[in-house]
Amino acid sequence: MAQIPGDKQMACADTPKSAVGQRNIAEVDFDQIHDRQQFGSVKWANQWDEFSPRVEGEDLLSLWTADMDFRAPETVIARLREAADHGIYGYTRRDPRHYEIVQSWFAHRHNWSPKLETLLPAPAIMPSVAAILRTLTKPGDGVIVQSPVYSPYFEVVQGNGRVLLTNRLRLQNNRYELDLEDFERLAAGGAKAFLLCNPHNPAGMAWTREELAALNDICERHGILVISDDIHCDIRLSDRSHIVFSSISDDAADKSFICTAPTKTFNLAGVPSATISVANRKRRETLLAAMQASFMVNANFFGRLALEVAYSSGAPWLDQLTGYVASNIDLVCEFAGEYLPGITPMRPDASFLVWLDARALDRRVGGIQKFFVDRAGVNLYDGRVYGPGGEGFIRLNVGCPRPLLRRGLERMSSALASM
Amino acid sequence: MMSQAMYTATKGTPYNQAMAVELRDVNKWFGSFHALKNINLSVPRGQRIVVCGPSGSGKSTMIRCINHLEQHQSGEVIVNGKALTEDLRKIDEVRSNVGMVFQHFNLFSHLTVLENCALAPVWVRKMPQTAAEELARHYLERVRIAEKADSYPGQLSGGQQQRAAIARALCMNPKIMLVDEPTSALDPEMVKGVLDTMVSLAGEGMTMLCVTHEMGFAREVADRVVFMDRGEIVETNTPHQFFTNSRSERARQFLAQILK
Repeated sequence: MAQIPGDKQMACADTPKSAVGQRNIAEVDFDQIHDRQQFGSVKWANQWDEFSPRVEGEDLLSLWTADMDFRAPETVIARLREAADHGIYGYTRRDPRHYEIVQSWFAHRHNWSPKLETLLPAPAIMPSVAAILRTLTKPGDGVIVQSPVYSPYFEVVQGNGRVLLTNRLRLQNNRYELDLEDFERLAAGGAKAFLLCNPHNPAGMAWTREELAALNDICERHGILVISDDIHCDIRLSDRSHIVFSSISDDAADKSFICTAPTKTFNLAGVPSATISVANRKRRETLLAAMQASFMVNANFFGRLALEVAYSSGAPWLDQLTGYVASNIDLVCEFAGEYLPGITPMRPDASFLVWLDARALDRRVGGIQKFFVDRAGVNLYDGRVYGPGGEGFIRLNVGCPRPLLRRGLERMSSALASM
Repeated sequence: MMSQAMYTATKGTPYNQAMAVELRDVNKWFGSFHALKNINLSVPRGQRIVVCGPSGSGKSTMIRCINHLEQHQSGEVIVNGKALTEDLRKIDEVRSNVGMVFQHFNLFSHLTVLENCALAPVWVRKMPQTAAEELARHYLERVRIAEKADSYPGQLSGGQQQRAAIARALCMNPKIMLVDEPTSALDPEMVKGVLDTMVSLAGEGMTMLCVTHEMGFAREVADRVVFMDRGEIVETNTPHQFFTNSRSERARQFLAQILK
């Protein structure tokens, strides 16, 4: 879809005039390499935070943490620049139009139109997940996660005093499938919530309506709340469309918290703003009260603005980005087939991440992630981080200029040849 | 597989097929640090080059650019007539002809010497395990540590580990051998065994680029000595001329340092 969603209603004060009605944008140069060191990039510092040891390497290529090395859409940059030049960074609020923009984005891109009153403001997705768990489950309650999965899920469950129930995904023909029997067993064993990753990070699997319905049936029978993290939903690479969990049925909507943000889509992780859709009125009010008590609902001056401009004018940019990411993934799959012996990429349905199966090689070299850091100067995410089932896998972030990706692949290939 | 047409050089000058390695105006930066400055070097097939120079002069970086463990940012690196800059699929052709011996051996400590040597032939060349092990035994014999085949690297002296690493590189049947300071991590009494192995390899007609400060080795086997300083090739000369009558002041200062 190369259209701006509902651009008439989007003609708002917070959208620069140049962005409104701009249907054809100039071709974006995603090949351009930018130096990200100067603004403290986590990815290029090769260091998760100030408390983690740095991965050392003079010339280390960073293809790990999930942000992209691309500039955001020009419309977003232009508006944030105007806002920066304004120079008064006081309190701002999300007005009703903010939520209409969110609604319109999901209606146009994903055929899901959440009622406006269901939408809650949030600083980002993970703090919201924490708030939901703390508010709507009790300490000691079981929370199901499907591993291998985005590692903060383990931290948010355990760090908030809930019990982690791990439902391992099943690897079948180089794709992940649900293990519904095991899910049912965990559900029956006292789980109170299920943290769904849709599409699934790290492998980029888009769950089908049937799969989501099967999960919903089990959750319905056992009274389990569903927290759905849809952050990777927008970059669509296969014919599987994004099915929002709450769109499958009324009872699915009633039990779910749909967590969305434009941060992965438009590369805005440093200026976050998120939206949580909660259809159940009572739970929505409870959650909002808890978030207000934690002072989580004030808008960030730049984050709010970035969300509005990105969702209202970023679609053409996203379409170009999607094409570029898809070509990067083709490159990885083609290259690996011939020149990365022992490494099998899994094609994602969505996201800019490629999950690489290197299990046998991992055993041989005693840790494939470290091997590539030490011998190829390429930093990938170690699959072990993603929990049970991640051992021997590595996650490659292809949200980068193709010349960098090529360089990384070449180095990995050379390192394997001289092992 | 990409068609051969992809390998056609795009620049005007044809690649000289008699050259094993050609570097043309190669530049590399680490951030703002200019690590390689307009490097030009042609290595005919079968020639043995010793690269020397002060620490930090770009020696290792230059040879690592030849097998793409590091990438140059401008200029051309041409290996066996194939430029590395145009299409990444060429890397495979290049790397299959280039072996590498590292300063710190880079053996896997949890694998035996034999397993270390058989690893790349099995993974990269898809050779059956038994054939790869047979090949590994052959080369371990060749570097005179056959009796250590079933030992782990930790049970070997540094010199033995480096000979194992040489055997491992030979198992891939390279036409060009890149050797990065093979003796600098060794105790003095271990150096001779490794150098003897290197001298014997050099006698077999393999193209060799060796970064080393072992001037005795340079005198004995090198066809040419390449002297680098601050990212530049300052002087290329015959060993005899280099040691007795080097052209550059920087080379003379360097030699005075290491030979005193």
